[in-house]
Amino acid sequence: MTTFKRRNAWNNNGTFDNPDLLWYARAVRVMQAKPIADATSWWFYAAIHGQYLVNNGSGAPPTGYPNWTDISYIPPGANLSALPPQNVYQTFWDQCQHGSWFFPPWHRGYLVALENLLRTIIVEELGGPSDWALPYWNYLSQAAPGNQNQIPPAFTVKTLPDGSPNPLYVPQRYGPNGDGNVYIEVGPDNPNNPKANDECQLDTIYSESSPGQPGTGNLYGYYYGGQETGFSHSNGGFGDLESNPHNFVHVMVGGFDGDTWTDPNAQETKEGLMSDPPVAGLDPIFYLHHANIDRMWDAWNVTGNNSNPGDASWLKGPTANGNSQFAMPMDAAGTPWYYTPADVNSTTSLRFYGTVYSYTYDDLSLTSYETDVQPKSGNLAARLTSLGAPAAEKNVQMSGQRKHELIGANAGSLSLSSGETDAVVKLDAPSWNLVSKSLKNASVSNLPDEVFLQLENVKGTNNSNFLSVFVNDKFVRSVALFGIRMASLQDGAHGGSGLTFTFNITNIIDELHLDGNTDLNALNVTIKTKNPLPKEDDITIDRISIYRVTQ
Amino acid sequence: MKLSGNNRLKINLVISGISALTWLLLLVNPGQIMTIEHCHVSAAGPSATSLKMLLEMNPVSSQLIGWGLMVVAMMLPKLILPIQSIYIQSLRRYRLPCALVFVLGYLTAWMAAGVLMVGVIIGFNLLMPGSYIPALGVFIIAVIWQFSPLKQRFLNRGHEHYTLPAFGWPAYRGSLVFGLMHGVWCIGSGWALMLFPMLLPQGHNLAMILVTYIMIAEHLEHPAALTWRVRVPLRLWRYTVAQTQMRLERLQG
Repeated sequence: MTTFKRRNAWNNNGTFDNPDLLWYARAVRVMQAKPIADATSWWFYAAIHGQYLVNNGSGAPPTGYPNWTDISYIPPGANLSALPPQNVYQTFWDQCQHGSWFFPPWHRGYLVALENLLRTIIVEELGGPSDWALPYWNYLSQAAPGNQNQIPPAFTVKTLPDGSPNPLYVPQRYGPNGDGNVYIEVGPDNPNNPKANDECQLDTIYSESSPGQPGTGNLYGYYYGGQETGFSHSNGGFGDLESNPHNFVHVMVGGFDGDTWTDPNAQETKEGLMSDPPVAGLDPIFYLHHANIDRMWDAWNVTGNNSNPGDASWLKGPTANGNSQFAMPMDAAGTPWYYTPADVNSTTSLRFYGTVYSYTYDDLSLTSYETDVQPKSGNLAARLTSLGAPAAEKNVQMSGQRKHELIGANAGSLSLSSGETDAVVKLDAPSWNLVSKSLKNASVSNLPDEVFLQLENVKGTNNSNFLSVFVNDKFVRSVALFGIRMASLQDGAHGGSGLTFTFNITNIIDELHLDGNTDLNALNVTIKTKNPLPKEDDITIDRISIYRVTQ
Repeated sequence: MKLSGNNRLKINLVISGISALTWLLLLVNPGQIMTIEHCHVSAAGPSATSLKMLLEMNPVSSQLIGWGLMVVAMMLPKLILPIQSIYIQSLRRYRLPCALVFVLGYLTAWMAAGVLMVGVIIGFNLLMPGSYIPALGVFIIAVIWQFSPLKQRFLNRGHEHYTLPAFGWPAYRGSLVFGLMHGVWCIGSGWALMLFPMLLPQGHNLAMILVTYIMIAEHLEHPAALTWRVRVPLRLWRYTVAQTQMRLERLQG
């Protein structure tokens, strides 16, 4: 059995001298020549992630850009007016799993299906190498040549070496500064200029009830893989991998045309494709970005020696809760490969359409970016020590019986302004006293509460923006608004509830406690937008809440 | 954030228990509150006299009590998810009162609709006592409504995520409005289905059980496009099968 090796797109300086990129471009061109009704077309595959063409239980598509009929990158040959049969698009389209613990496995299957299809084209139609594998773009890498945070040049030149149009070139990429320079801001998260990094790789637990040793990311992040999606799913569970770097990179690549910030007549319709899930899959860089996210997950397992969930609710996928199976088309007619997270749990023994599929990466380093930000405490034992608890043994286990309880909230909906918006989040005295008591009496047998801040139902259409959150003037972290438009569609899958962001503010609460601020009756929350909000593009937050999690 | 398994279980058991007890009451049908008794005069055709006798034998108050019990039995299980949502959104001491206020709002909406529904039921019994024609007519309307975009709009609205104020009267007011609005969306989607069993001269209970399953199951489907289409709500069935399989697998080790 061949084990395919996915290699760095920046090999040979990220140009078409890298054969992986040249064959990718040629095969993408073949797929793009097919109409959308063909399940092996580029357009069909992009719609598997999401689409703005037909309301497939995904909400009514917008009028005008980014409706697919108004995207110049899609050629007339895609024949968007002749959709596949309804039962076919209902099976395959709009499957992307975001804000959920299914985010990593669903995207792994998506990439494998596309990679297999591209390889078939490369070998059978183009006479290319039979071991071709999807390259990845590791924008976090600081290895030579040192500019890997730039999009590889093969995606920005307009022609292939033979002079024909380059299918990897997409005009609707505006970059983090809205000037068409597409690169990723890499570094420690910064409230003035949010940056992508791989701090998530320090997490040690996939999701709240997964086995594992509580570590840095779990105490100060929101778990690696995302919220455990049950019967009722509220689009509020971005895991650390999905939040940063995944969402950050989407928004930095897509961006929006910077004219919007200075021209009062400009429309926010100038958002880049990568900024919005229902159009992101159209951009060929999408798949190299996701190959990198998949590589990070693999490294987290293999090099970091961390486990994926063993819970049947994860292994069986959404069907455990009565939802549709993950499905990828294997041919033009749409013969499906159905898969579960259990099928894609390992890259070297992946169950693929009745056979075993194996691939790996040429680099499985746990981290690529030498982050200089280390949270104050690395694990639960260290936290207990910092709280003055009696000497704790190492490797204190997180409780499996955790309870979430509201302890405070602001009053009423909040409409954000460009720049900073302040909110007072009132704390409930009896509930807060319980938190204070748990911190005061912290011990191995009496584990202290954790505290989370939640921005509930963040709605709007401005995907390509960031919110940086402060509590009592202390910076918590930033989030990208990737997917906000889709999540705010009223008749969409999430009932128009927008996005919900959960922030672990335990370290800030610990600091307040250690500084003697035990009689708090409110927290001051400041939310700062990175970019100015385009005219008539409000961002609203239904509620800001504070939760304690008892152990 | 999410509710603990224990709290979810408690909510499920309490609501299912109340619903089951109410079902028992309905099936026993004390004082014939769930059925209309007909007087001989009504057979001669509608008149003020026959209406008067019909109302004497079937006071509106008992008809409304019967309607209310039917709503509690059939609709309460639909409130499990919203009540779970209220619990996770509320301060601990507000959880139960806010949930009760929510249920009050929800039942108020259905009782307001009940006044109209009971009027329609009495009217049909006056005009066509013992006839299947009114039930058949409502059944046809229910089938058309079932597949309409308007019904889907009501079902979609039922998925709206209410965020509740956390403190004081606004918390109760928010819960009440949530209950009222949730009731309005439920009535909008299910009024015809609810009316159908009430008009059946026979087979009332069986129809109620079927309608209950349909209404709960369709409420648990995901929001969908507002188009005419045949909707078969299978998610609840698939969920039940999958969860049963998983439990069996766990038992088998």
